[in-house]
Amino acid sequence: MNSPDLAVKAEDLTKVYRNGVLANDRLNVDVRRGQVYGLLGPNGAGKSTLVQQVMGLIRPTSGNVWVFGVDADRNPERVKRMIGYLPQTSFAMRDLRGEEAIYFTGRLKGLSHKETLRQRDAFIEQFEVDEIRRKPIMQLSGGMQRLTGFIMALLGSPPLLVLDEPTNDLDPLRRRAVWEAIRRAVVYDGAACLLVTHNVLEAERVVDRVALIDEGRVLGEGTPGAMKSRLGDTIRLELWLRDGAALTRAQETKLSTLGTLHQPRPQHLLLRVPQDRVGRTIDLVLTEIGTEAVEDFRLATASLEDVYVEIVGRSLEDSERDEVKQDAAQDSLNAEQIGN
Amino acid sequence: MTSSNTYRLRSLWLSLNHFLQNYLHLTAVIVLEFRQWLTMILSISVLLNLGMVFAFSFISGSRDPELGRYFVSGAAVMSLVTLGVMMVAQDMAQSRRNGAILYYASLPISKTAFILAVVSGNGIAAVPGMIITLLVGSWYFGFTLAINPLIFAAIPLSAISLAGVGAAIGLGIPNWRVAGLVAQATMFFIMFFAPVMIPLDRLPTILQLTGKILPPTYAAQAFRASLQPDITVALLIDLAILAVFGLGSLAIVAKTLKWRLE
Repeated sequence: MNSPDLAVKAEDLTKVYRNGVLANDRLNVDVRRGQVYGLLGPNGAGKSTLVQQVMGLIRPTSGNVWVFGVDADRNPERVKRMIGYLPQTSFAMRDLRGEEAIYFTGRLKGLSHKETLRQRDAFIEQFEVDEIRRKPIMQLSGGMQRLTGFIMALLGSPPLLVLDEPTNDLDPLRRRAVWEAIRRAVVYDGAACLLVTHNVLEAERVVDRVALIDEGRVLGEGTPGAMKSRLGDTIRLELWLRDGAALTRAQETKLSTLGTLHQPRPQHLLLRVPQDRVGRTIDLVLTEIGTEAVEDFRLATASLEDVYVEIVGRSLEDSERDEVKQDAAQDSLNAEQIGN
Repeated sequence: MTSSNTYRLRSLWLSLNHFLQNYLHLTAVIVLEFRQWLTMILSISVLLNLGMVFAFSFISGSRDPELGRYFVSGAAVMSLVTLGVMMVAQDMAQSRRNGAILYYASLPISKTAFILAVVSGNGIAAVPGMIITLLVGSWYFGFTLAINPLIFAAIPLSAISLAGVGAAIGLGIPNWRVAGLVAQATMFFIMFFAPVMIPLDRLPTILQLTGKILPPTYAAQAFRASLQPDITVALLIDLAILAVFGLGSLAIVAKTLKWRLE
């Protein structure tokens, strides 16, 4: 059933909350050692529920999930020993200094005093975050708090990293340091990484495989390359209009006849067109719409975001706007339910 | 000894060691979390306790040392009530709300060790306030303090049984605001309607009866008795009752607190 390199296997995983919300609907996911596996989808898509099922924190309504062959529902304690977890937000140990929180997490994970200190100091040096030694976590910037949590997840070199938005609030240099650390854990230590994100551009660069999740279902799964090849040889035109400028209905119709048009914001347009229509598209932008209305435009090959739009039928930004309220309601429900 | 017995003993020792390590580290986390707020917590709890002592002295119009001993020991027990019932209830309700419990639940730690650590951490935070109240109160009423060694059993047993009440409120009431309100109401009840600050024979019969089934009564009795030099049978009985309350409430809380979302 489970090969030794299979870090996570979810089989027909379904979760219906007590309030009747269907969070996961027969999800099937395989994450292997040596892989960064991205879960991509808007808030409320069911990513966090899946992650918490992997951690043994939520019981599936039906279906199964194994971590290195161990049933997460039946043996959550064994599973937790194999996982380094970075939650999306954490309020635990916030009054402790960063270095203290890292130390106690190491000890609670079962590391010795000496080993915890060694790893803690090495990570603080590696990420150049000396300020987390002295300041309480709650006084650190969002980025520093994120890095402290990331170090807590890395402690003990767990064979499975479960990271929920690890680069939120980080500056570009530190983002890169985090991705490098994840790559190192995956490539050199043979760990697996289950990565939750809604940052499509970043995900594209770091993940080995990705699952697009929406409304509790996996709508598409594969390597980023294979996912993008579903779109054929299309080119994406991104167009920003000046403040106050808008497309006329005629201009919109013309653009729509050339390719697939999406408008995530009033001043921002996305158009995916076949390669042989790129020339006509640029002509249209420059002559019909004109530089007086166009703030900026960009051409690029198809991205995961385009795949997302193609499969889900709307952009990630649209999805987030629609579902942010629903997600907030679900989050507060989840938080209230634990311990009850 | 057979090898299977050796194996069993070894695994028992490993589990016990794991539990103790978890307990000590989690207690250290809770105590360190208090550190930043220590001055504030200490000042407020001391002011509250001394306020109670003086208020009850004004109401009774007496500075009689015996009555004073009653008020002062009652106020010191109220320190444990403030931290044990109020803070534990609020801690538990808040950690559930903000997801802190979720983080602890994601670590391979013992749930019972976590609960015991929350109780111990809050109990430890109450001790300085108790000591200051006793010192200032004994000076004000002019009685001498005698400490009985069983005080070292009375304080933790009282803390555990009171924190059981706090944890039950924090975990049992789904909404954190309601939990906070109930915790405050409980504190008010203990202050005025239980034999902690007010002698048992002054309370109406119904409250004398309810007092008999609630842990604060025994915590106050045990604490009072342990401020006398003699070890009495009554004190030992009170301690035994507190131990039963404490273990019982820990068992209930451990069963109620689920390391899972549902």
